[in-house]
Amino acid sequence: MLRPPTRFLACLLACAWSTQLVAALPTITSLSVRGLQVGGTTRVVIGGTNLLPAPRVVAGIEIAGQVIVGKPAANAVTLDITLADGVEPGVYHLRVASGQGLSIPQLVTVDRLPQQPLEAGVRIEKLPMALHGRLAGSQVGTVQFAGSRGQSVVIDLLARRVGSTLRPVLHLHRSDGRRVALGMPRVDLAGDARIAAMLPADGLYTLRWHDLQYAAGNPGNYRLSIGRFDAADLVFPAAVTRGQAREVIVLGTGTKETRVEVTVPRGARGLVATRWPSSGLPVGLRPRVQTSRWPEVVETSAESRKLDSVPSAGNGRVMAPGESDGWRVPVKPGEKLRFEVFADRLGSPLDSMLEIRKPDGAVLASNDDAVRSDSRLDLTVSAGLSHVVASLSDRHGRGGRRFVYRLVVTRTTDPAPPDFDLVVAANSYNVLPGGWHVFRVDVTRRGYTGAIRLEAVGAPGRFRLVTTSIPAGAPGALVMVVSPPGVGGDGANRPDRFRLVGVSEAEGTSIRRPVQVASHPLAATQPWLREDLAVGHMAAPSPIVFVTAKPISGGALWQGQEIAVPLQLTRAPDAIGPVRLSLLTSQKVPLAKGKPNAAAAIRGTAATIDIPVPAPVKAAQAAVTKAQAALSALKKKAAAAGQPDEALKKQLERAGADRAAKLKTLEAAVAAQPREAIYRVTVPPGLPLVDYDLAVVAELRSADNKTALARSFSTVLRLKARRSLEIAPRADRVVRASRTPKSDVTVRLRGELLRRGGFSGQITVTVAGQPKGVPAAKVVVKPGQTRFELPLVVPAKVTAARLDKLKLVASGPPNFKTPKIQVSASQDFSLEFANNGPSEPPPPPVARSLE
Amino acid sequence: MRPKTEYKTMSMPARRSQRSLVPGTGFLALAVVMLLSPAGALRAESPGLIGQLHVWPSKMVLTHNRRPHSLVVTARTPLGRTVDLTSRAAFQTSNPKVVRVTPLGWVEPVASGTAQVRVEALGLIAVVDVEVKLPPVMALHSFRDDVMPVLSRTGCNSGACHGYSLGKNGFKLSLRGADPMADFESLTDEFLGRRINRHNPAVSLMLSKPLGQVAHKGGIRLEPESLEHRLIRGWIREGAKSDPAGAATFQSLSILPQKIVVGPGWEQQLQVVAAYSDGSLRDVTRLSVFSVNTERIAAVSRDGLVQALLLGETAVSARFERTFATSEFLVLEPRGDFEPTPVPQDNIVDRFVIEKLNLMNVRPSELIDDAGFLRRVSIDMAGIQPTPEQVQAFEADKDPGRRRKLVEALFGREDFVDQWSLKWGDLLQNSRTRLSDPAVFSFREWLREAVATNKPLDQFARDVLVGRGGVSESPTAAFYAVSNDTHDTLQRATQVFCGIRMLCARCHPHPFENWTQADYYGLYSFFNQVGTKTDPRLPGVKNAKAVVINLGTGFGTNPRSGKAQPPRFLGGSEPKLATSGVDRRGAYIGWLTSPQNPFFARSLVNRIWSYFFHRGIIDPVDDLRSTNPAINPALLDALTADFIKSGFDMRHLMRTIVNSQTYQRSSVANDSNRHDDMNFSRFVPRRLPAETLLDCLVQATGVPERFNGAPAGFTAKQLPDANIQSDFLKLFGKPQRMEACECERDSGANMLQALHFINGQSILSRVNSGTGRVVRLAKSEKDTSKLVETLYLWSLCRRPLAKEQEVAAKFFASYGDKRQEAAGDFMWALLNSREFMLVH
Repeated sequence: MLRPPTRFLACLLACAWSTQLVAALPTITSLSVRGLQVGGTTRVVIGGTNLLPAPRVVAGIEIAGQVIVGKPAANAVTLDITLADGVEPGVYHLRVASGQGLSIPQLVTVDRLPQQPLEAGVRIEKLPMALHGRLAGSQVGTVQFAGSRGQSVVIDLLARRVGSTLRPVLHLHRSDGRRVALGMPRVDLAGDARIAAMLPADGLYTLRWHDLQYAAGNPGNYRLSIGRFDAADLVFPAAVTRGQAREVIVLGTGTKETRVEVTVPRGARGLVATRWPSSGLPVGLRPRVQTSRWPEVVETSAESRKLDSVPSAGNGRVMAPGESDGWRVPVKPGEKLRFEVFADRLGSPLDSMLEIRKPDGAVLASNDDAVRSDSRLDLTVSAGLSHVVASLSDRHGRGGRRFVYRLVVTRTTDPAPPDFDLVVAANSYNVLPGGWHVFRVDVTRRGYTGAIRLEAVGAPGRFRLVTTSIPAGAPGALVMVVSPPGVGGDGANRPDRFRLVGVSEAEGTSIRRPVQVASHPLAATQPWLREDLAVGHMAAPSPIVFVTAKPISGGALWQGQEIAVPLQLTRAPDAIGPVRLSLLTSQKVPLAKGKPNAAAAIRGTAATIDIPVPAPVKAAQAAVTKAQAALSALKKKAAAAGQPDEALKKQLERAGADRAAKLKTLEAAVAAQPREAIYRVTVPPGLPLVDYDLAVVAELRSADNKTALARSFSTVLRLKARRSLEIAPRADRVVRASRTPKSDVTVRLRGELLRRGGFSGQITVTVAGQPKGVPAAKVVVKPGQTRFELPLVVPAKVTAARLDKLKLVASGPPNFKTPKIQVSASQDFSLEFANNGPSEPPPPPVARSLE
Repeated sequence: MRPKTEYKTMSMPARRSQRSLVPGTGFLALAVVMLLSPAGALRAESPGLIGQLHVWPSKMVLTHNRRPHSLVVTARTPLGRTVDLTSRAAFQTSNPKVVRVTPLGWVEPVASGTAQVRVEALGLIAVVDVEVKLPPVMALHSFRDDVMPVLSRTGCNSGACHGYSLGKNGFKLSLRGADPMADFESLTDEFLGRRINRHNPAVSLMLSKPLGQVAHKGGIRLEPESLEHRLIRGWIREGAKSDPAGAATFQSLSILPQKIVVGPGWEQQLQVVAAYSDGSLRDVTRLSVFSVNTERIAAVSRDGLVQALLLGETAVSARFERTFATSEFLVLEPRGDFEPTPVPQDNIVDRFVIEKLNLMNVRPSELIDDAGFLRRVSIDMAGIQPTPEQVQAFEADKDPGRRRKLVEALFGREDFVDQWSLKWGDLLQNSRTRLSDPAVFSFREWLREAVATNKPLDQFARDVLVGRGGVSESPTAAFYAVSNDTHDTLQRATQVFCGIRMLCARCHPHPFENWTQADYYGLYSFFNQVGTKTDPRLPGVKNAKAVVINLGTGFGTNPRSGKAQPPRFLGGSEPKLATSGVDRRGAYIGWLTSPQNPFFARSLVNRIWSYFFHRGIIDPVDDLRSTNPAINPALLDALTADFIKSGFDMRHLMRTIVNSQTYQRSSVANDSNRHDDMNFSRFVPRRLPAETLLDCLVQATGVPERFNGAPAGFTAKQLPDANIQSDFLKLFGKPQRMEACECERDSGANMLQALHFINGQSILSRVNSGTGRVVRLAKSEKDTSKLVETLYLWSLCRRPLAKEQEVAAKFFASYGDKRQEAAGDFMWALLNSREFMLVH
């Protein structure tokens, strides 16, 4: 343990001359094998950064044992990882936890095959075997294995199915160079390659592989399985009705179809993982089925292709080349139906062609490609039809047992049940002991507007979630993960995995949806991995600045106005560098024409605020540096002399004292730095009127302000968005006036404006929606004034007795200093004329408080 | 027997001199012949004739008043040559009331009955039986049989004249008489029939213009009272009527002699006979259009008199009614002292080549030495020179069968796969110009696998032509994805797999072959169900296409008839195929790859042959037609039969070729074959293809080429297509893969190439490269003679001769201590030598 002054000095030096991240998290840059053997021990060399101290592997499965082999280093750790026998094969996350935190996860495959890194000249002595490697550019991988005549071998290269960019091509040769088989990228393997071959002779076989275009990108990882094993490329039927159990066929490497019973929970949604068939040696992605809220009919014969009702779905396979499957669908005249094929999206090689025919065979509609190569078409049922036939075939006339499809027939007029999705940007969070981390949860609402409660599932209770509700209508929330003091000690390398689940809070709803990470390479095939979140506990604080947001008086986000968030910065003694402040909100940046529209976002008035190191601190820091240098030089001199003379000793003493004094001065200067700060937030004019969360992020920067050394979050402020300008409501929306035929009439519209939250700008009031010929009227209401009178001239040629859809529109800048930020308010009204009388001014509006 | 000089004098009678040669057909060559061998080749021949007098035909039946038949009179020389005696024969009829005979040997019917024509020439006599069976009423002139041939013969319906798509001066005829009905209407009905004057036929515009009596931009096309003039006038005089329904129609054309060996300066009259549906024959020699393939070898007159010019071989074609018949002419120096080469029986190549050479009095060159063979066969099969290690290993191998062993070893090399997948890639136009990147690489992998596994070529063609779907699932779908449309597809398919160019027949009958628009659109109907769509599985990928088959597509429409044209095999039948619901490609593929197909195996054999020699047995290799006959039909037939028997095995064919003595001949000519560059009597050197040249340069110098846009480490022949920035490859003719034609590869030489080799960086920078082989060798090898030997081995794949070592030693000495510079310049010189740049 360093003594405080020494530690302070060390940090000082680091801050002064290094751009190294003090609070750097562990990262994994390479894995010697991206697979773990079930019931065995796999040696994994992890390359990365900041892997020390106390590195430990955390996976999405239970690890029976892990032993560090040799001396670990910050950039490389070797581990022997043992998995218990009962681990379910599949793809899982693997993270490294150390005293510095938790890495982002990498994907590893887990199965019973021995796992081995691919090394140059490697020769496999025993099959099956899983090899792991990486290709770049035009590299070609090679491996040899011994085979015997008649031996059945499957070679499967897993790359694109686990997020690699590699488009593999496999070449299997005999020892004399003769070709045995070629494996090209396959559609039903998501672009990966597989060879299934019967070896023609005893001897050594050479397998070569490369990227199709000899341009392997990043990541170019792959896993090569050689031997006999099973996979779950496709499942038939692809969907099972929620709350039901069904036997499904798992289509994999062999020609034999294996079956497994699947039970889909009632509340499940999307894809769910199923068990592996009991026999065989499963490898790769776990089998999965789509959950369905409709009846799922499975073909057993041509006669069975019949749906009893709509909505429902038919599941079938185009088994033979040229085959066309006709599904009888009951219809009612006038119904608006949607026929949608799922095949390409399931990973099936089928390129669907869909035709809707009348019972007499006449084609009503057809579609080839709608979503990728899947077909979809909408049909309004014509009179006289009681059923139609949906014919489905392969566009290229092919067929086979893997040509799986699902035909979903729905009514486009049926309302979708309310639902929502919850998304986070990252799936690993690191928290300082006693500190907290803030992350945003975004909601995509599909018909559900109520509040959502967030629950941590599976968390061991070593962290606490704060602000776990998403307000009604809100686009999301900022969630605080709080780590109690002391966790960073023993638990530094023991992160907590958990799932976050959103639960609907509105009455009459019962929706539970997991929070998922937004971007995941296996989102389409193994979506449950998106739900795997983890909190890492950092061992010790780094030089840090804590920021606290003080409560804001008024407590609202006034549209178009600026609010000031008062902050208090608390620097650790060794946190000397500049500080950068930025804003985090629960609002996703809105899009305009597909691009982020910052003007519509709650944002810092300045994108970031940099608080520089004050001049006295800089001077004191320079003085310490100089004193330290002088002391070091003397020490070196003394060491060279062996036995320093008295004069040198005195010089050393003086230099030591000088350095201590300079350090004291520096500490005082650091302590004297201002603690108060204001962070100004601009509220966009059209901000929807719901609750938003705000937090300020403080970054301690390196001395050269190029690198973030540490980051902290303020507590979360939840504020409601409010209108800053309104027109006082009228008692009656109809304005009545009299007029004389053949003469113009002037109606004086009177009203009152309500300025909120310090709206101080000039307001222009005008009328919109008037018919052609009625000139636009306009009046300007000066700052400080609220009432207005707007003369609206209605020419005699406008003879209508009543003008509807008129609108009073008020707009202006809340702050005259920012005239471009305009806020507007409007009020609908109608104008009703009575003939034969002079125009009477309408009665003044009755203002009422909107608070 | 007449003295040969006398015979020669008599062979140029005044009546023959009136027969002008076809304009532009070798006047210059004829002049050269006349200058060089004024006495004619017969002088070298034995002075006597042997055997009987031969007269074609030996008997005849004349059934038409105006249709005489010619007689062609020949005799044999002691050396087996055929001598045309027609011009010096005397003809005498036995019954002038039945037939009469003109001095030129035309037998004209007079009245029904029988007669004999006595033919006497050079003391030999022959008799021809003639039967005349005239109809009771004089037959009318036929528009189709009399007028149309005249329009073709006079060139009126040629592309340059009224056969032009827009006609000329308001008068349009169908090109080369493709549409007689339309021509009939043009002549008789258009502009109120102003071209025909039935009351005064002689002043009809149709006659007065080509006779030059009225201004005619096309000039004078008819001689007054010529046969052509008389036929048209007769037709007009009889009312310019259309042919009656049921009239006999033209069926086929034959030519005599079909094959003949003559000497330079000799003449031979051709006889062209048309056969009609009623079984009658008609001598149409004077109504045919003649052309000669190689004008330096022979010239042909308008009436079919062939004049042999220089030694060599050519075909003379006659065209009548858009049908061709071809006669082969061998022009040989009579050599009484010629010793025929024993005909080998163990290799079909050598057997038929030697048979032909013996026929031509040509001795083949000697066999090439081992080093030369090693380099030649390595370049041809693997696209790369042998390395010094390979040269030394081959030298050390004393096995008599080492050349065969070498060939087998080359089959097993990746270079072999690179080389032949490059050729198929060129031919099948695998290019990112029209295909997506994944498609090009997928198809490339497929081609490589096909070559590596020696996929039988019938299966290869089946797989290529059956492609459908996205390239991810079906790499061969790229073949169709390359095409712009169905026309492109059928033209590519026929050119690649049949060696036939069908483009012309899209708009009009093929000018040099019997293909019509019906043939063209018959093929079209096999392929017009094929279309493409954007490949939905490759979103955002440029040129990503999926090949789709629309089974509902009906037959293509023949624009000439405006009717649907059922699928029709080339020159063959029309299979019974439903108009929809079936993929018609299947029938085509079945026909194409059948062993009985007359084009498929033959064209592939010819094409593969051409990769090992300077030309195909038929050349160009993708222009097979009756007017472009094989230089050695027996050889091509034998190789084709053997290829089919082998199961369309490409390697078997290659093995047969490269293991033959013919392939292993030296490029050094002997006295007898110096003039022969067509019959494979010696190896004719050719420039290395662009990719081979560059790869050999890289190998020799040890300095790799980096191609922008290509995977790292790829050699020139491994490049996926031509969409790679390489000035070198462009300069040396690497094809862009825009055409399915071998001609797209420029194998020629030009000044820019020479300048590039002399001054360009491709060699200079390599021989001077600090990391290159030359500099490294110069540093490590202190013995100059060994250094020179090593440089020779890397550059020319052989050891230097003693004389060359001498010159090299002087050269190095002249550089003093600048050894590296000397080595660089020395290798530069070797790489600039023809020995490096040529396969020889």
